[in-house]
Amino acid sequence: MQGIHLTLLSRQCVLLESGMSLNPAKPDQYADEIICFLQKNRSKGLIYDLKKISLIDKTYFQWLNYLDSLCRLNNTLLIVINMTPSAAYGLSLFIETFPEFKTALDVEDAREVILQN
Amino acid sequence: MAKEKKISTEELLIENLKINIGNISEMIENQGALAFGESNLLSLEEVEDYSTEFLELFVEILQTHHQSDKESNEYQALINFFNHCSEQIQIRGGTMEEFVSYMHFLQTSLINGLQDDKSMNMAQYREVLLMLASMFNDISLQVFKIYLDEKEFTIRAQQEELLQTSTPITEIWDGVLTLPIIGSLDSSRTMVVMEKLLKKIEDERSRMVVIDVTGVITIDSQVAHHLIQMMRAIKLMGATPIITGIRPEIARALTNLNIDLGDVVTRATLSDGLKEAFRHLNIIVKSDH
Repeated sequence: MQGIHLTLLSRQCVLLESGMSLNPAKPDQYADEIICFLQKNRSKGLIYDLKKISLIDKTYFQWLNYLDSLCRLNNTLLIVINMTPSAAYGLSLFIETFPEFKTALDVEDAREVILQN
Repeated sequence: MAKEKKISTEELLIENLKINIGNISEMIENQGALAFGESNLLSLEEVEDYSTEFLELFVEILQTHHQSDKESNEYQALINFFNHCSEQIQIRGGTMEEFVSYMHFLQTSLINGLQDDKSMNMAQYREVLLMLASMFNDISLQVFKIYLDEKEFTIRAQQEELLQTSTPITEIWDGVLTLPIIGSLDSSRTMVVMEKLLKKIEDERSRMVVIDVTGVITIDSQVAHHLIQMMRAIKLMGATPIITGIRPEIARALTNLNIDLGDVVTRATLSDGLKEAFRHLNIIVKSDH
């Protein structure tokens, strides 16, 4: 699917890599495919890689929250990984409370979090 | 007409210098020896060399009529000469006042040299004096500006260095960073600390960050806000922050300010914080004794 790439890492974890063509302002267009993929693989965790994202604005943050809500409905844990320093700093400036989704350093870390839950 | 008059003023001064160069040079050297000899700021040889160099540059600028042209090579050469002189005096422990008095006696020596010149009438004498005053004022200002710029640069560099050294982020164990904060946290310092810390988390792939605030004496709502912001950014990166060393007065202030640190782990001392970090990472530190 244009804008996102889903990879099954193991039976429990799915890796989501977002491309430059992802449009966070239109989250609905990605919802079906993501949910189907998670359900088909009975995934316990969705690992969202933010390595290529240098700035997270309000729209992108809403997209992450939207995805988190979808995952919760599917009993899947959303874990955001590889957030860049600039994105973390920028996001910390405008959020009032810590987001609902989990964060981890990298895939290994995220897997541990999934196993603990 | 006015241009002719100006040229004649310069020529008059050059003529005067040619006739009195020996006396003027002697005056400068004597006064220089008196002013700097005792304090050892400049040796007698240096005073002589400076005197010769100054007179050469001075005659050159008059000959080319560039005394008002700040972009000219001759003017810049004279500024460089004075700048070098000012640096030399300050390097040896002298002050800007001593340099200014050196410039003052250079000017006085030139004016004294005009004293016995009978070829000048009152108007020409006045013209020469005005030109000298204007030139020396301009040069003083230029040198002083360079001096202030350098001072400002030094102060800024020292501030930057202080900022860097006052926030030593150390990887105390694989995956464990420590950051002792001493003094107050204002917006600019928070930004520097946060930038360094987040970069370090990314580079070292650190999972635990122990921030020790034992050295923070006071806290207000703004500082608390900065601290919370820092915790959020650390967690967003995927690391876990631990705050240690919250003094009783800081704890009281945080409570009075209704500030909730949320689910941030806190420990009484840096040692406890480190133990918590190790526990998190399943690291067991054993003593042989």
